[in-house]
Amino acid sequence: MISVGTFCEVCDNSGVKIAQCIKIPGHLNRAIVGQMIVVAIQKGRLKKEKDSAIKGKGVYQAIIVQTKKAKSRLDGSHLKWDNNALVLLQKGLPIGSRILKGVGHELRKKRYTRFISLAPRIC
Amino acid sequence: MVLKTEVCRFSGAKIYPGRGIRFIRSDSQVFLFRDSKCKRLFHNRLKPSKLYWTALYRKQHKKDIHDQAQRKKKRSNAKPFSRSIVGASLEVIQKRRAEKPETRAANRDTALREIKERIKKQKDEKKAKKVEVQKSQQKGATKAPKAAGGKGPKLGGGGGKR
Repeated sequence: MISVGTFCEVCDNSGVKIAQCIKIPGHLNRAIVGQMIVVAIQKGRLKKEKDSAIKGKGVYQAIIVQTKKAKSRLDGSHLKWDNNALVLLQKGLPIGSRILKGVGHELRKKRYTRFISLAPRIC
Repeated sequence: MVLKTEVCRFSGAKIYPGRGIRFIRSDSQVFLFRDSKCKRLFHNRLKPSKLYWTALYRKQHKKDIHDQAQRKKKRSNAKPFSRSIVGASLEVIQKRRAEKPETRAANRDTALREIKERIKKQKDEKKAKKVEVQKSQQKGATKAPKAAGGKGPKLGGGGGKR
C-alpha cells in the first residue's frame, strides 16, 4: 500500500535507486501492486550510467511491483514482501531493460505483459 | 479442482485453503504462516525450536514418540478378519484352513498330474494332425503348378467391348 510521499525502491537497471510517490491517479489515496503511480526521482547513479534514458532528477510514471502491506487475493490468501518496489516506465514501456525482483501476478491482469516477461519470477 | 492443505513454516500446523499469510523475503524465499501469531514471532526472530507448542519443539524433544509406538503396535496386532467371499462360503474357507499341509500337498500333486496328462494328450493329437496335413500337402503340391498354369487370368488377349 503506497500513498503520496512514500519512498520506494526502484528495481530495474535504469540507474535510479529510490523514488518518491507524488501522485496516485484516479482520486485514490492508496495504491497497491499492479497500479500505476507518478514518482519523483530522489536517488541514483544517474550521471554514471551513460546509456540510461534518465539523465537527471525528474518526474516519471512507475508501476508498483512489491508492497510491504499484505495483498489479499481472490482465493483468500495473503501475500506480502520485504519492501516497496517500483519499475519506471515511459509511454507504457519499461525504461530499463531488466527487472531485478519478482513481481506480483496482478500485473498480468492489468496487461503489463512486457513487465511480466522481463521479471525473474512471478509470485 | 483439488485444494491442498499446506504446512506453516513456523509452527508446522496445517493451513487450509483461504487461510495463511505468504511472505516473500528479499532473497525470494517464500514463507507461509498459519496466522498473525506465527508471523509476528517469525519477524521477532524467535526460534520455533524454543517454543513448546510448535511441531519442531515436539519433534526435537521426542514428545509424540509414545503415541506413535502405540499406533504401530495396534496395527501389528490386528488379525485378518474371516468371512465368506464371492465363490467360497465361510465353511469352505475354514475347512481349507484346517487342512494339514501333507494332505494339501498330496491333493496338489494329483491335480498337477491330471493337468499334465491332459496337455500331453492334446499335444499328441496335434502332432498326429500335423503329420496327416503334411502328407496331403505333398500330394497336392505335385498337382498344384499345372492347375495354376491352366486357370490363370489371360493378359492382353481377347479384346471385346470396353
